[in-house]
Amino acid sequence: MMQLLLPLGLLGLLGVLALIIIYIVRPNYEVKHVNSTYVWKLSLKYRKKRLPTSKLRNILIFICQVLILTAMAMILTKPAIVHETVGDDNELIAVIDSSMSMYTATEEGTTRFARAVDRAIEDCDAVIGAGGKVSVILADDQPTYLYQRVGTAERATLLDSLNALKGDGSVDEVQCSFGSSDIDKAMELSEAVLAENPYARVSVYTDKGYQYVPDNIDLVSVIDEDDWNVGILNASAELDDGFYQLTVQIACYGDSRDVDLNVQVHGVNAIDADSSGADTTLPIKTVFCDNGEVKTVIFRYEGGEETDNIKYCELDVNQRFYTFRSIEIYVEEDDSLKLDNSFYLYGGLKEVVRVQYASDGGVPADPSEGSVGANPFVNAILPVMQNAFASRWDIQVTEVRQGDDPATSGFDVYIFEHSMPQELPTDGVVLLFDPLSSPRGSDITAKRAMTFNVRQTLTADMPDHPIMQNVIASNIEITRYVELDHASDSGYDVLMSCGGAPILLVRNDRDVKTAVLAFSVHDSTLVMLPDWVILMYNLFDYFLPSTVVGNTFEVNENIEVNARGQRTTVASEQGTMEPMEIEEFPATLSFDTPGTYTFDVNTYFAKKAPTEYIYVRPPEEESNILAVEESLQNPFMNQEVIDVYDDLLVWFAAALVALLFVEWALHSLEKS
Amino acid sequence: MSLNLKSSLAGYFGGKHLVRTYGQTVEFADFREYQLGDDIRRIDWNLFSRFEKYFLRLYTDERQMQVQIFLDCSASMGSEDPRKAAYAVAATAAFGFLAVQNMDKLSINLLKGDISENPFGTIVGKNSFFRAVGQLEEVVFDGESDLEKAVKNCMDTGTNNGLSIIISDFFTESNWKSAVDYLLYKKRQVLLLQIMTPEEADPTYDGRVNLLDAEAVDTSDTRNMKLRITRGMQAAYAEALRDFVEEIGSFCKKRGVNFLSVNTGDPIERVLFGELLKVGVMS
Repeated sequence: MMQLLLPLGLLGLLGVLALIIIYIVRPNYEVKHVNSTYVWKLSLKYRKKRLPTSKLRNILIFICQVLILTAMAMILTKPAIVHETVGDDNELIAVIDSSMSMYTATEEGTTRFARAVDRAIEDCDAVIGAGGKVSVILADDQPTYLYQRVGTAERATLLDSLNALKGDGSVDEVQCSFGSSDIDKAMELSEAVLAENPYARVSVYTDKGYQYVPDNIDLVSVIDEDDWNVGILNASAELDDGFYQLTVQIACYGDSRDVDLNVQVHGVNAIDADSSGADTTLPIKTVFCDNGEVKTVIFRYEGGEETDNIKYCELDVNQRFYTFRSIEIYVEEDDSLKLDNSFYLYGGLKEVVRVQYASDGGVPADPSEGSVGANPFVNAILPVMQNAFASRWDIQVTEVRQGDDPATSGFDVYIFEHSMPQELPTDGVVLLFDPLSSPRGSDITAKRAMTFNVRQTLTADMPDHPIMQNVIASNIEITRYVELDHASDSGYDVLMSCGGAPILLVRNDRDVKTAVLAFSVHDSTLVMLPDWVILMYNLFDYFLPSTVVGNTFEVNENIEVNARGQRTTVASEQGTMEPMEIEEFPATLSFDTPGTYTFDVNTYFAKKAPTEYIYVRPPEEESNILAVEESLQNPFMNQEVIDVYDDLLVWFAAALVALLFVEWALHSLEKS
Repeated sequence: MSLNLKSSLAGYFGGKHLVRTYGQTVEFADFREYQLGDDIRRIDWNLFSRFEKYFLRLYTDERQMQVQIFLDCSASMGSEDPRKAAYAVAATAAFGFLAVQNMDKLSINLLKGDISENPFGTIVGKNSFFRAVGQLEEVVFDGESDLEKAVKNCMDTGTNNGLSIIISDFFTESNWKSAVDYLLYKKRQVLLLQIMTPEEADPTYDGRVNLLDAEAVDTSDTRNMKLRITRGMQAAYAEALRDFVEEIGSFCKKRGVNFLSVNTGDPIERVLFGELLKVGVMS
């Protein structure tokens, strides 16, 4: 049946009205003055015999013109013959929720995921048995198609795959993810099938509830009415007055009951990573958890005023701790989901970074060389660095006394000022300030001291270098520097210069980390500027990056690994993954299984740093096994049933051309 | 050059047209026997000496011809197209000059309505002619003319004494043929000169046209026509015009009347020295 896709185009028929008006109002005859019409009168007798059809021709021309205008108007309306899209409602898109909450199991041990897969198998089998097609989407944090539009031929394979997904249905067997599920993305994924068949049914097998479910989506809930769960949602340890206080968030879903919260602290008050420290068990705190209410429990030396949702567990003096290797928090409840019954905290023990600061501190042999005395500015900046990196490192500074020989091994960072060692240390980061000589291995040559009566402004050669972040070189003025020479293949980057002479050089190779500042801070305005602190912070941060920032992450959360060594080995304490070695930094990791993971870093210069621990916890929201969300995305919103149109424009255009020819022919006949 | 007459002439003496009658010219014509009463001065005494009979030497006679020009002064002759009127006036002047050049009498009759005006009287001699021609240029072509009545109402048509020339387009409902017959009855030699413009001979306009006749009184006059002129209509016009001209020619041929149809696009000298010589009106 023909439809007009643009009915407003019929307004073009007003042209017919205009044509009629034109025929009415147009001047019918042109006035022509002639001497005599005598011969014209005679000619009528001749003409009459030959014009019997003129009126008919005129009518035909008018009809032709009307039809031409009508054809034009019809073309404007985009005429088309509409066919409905052929679709088959015997097709199923099964979306199986694979979030961690689907591990919730009954007393018999059957998980929600197993029940979801069973329902999916049942529905898929029925559809395929009726000759339909089936698509299966596994909805974890990144949903994917397991099968897309398979039919009878793949029936056995499909059922086998789904059965393999659930195994025997227990927590240990099901192949469900430990992260969250992105059901909305799964809905978007299903649009690919709906594009092919808009009449396909969508069934979502999930434990999530939705306040609004689109009519054309079948939400299959796999919640068991007896399910309940106690979950440790989050935990953290913060230093408070020199001792850690522990904050734990706990909640119970599907039931209201008293819950005993257990805490064990390992490596209590250990001095460093090598010392073991003692283990201690904090008092058990019993918390009454209302259904769905999140309770916060704080373990600290002095308790506080409790409210409905904040509870305190007061520790005695002996139970206080200022360092720890790990804290294990757990509940011993026989609930339906046990994956969130324990929680681990790490990061209570900082790695020690040893820094040596050596300055000759003596009177210069030649006063014309400038001031090279002891430098209180460097002494002052090191405690600032200790505080700035307190959350990351335990920076221990050793200042070499005057007259003592500075060590060239055994430290992580060496700072030499004025007097340089004979040979550059090879087991740490070396910072050379105002080098009056050239240590072996430094690949620089101190040529001579350049002194100026007028302050010289520095220029940033590599302003985008991490060390130069927020450092404004043009603010720094100097009156003296040591002219340095370095080979082009020495690996140094010149970050700042003065009149073309290198002032700040940095080398960051795999086994040599060196920074050279070619002037004494005495002879500059640097120490009076915030750029001094920023520059030192950037140097420490650049050469001593954190392996990971933080100790607690969620499943599937991206973790940036930025170790200060050549290689980092990542392993799972529970053995859920094969150890993995990372040699390119920074690297991004994510873990799909909750648990404790270790980072063993081979630091520079073949030293092995202490093992770092992180805890990958289940998503907090997955503990709520009875969660109800607002609405389920409707994949049919973008998948309208699009009718197929056979365009009739060509035919109308052809008719238009034909009518134009007929009209032209009739006009020609009229003139002949 | 002069206008030529095919028939005998009974005009006044003094002209230059030879007639069949014998006269006093020096051109010998014949002999005849003396009869009582003849002028004895015309006796050829040489013949008397040979035949002893009196014979008279006869000479040809010359008469003066009266040339009458009937000029159609209706609006169709020039109201819309001055070229047509100018052509008619020029033809009139040309014929008139030929007449006075041969010492013929000339009268120019302006046909207006159903009367024939002769504002110039009988023109003899060049001086009179040029004076008349000067006034001829001021003739107004207006209204309609009834050729039949106007010619018949002419006070001085004469009898067997010359040439009558009717200059018109003959696009009229009046019975001009009756006028011709009338002139023939008066034993006048008749020449019809039909003048048409090029547009009348071959109209170029087409489409829906309201043709307003120059002689029409007002727009409701039946002579006005509304036509859709197509190529077919133009062909019909050409056919009608051809038949119309042929009918005039056929009519004239039957009566020994000279007929000439000219187009104002044709140079008038070509008409005088070409067409008139062909038909024998001029020699």
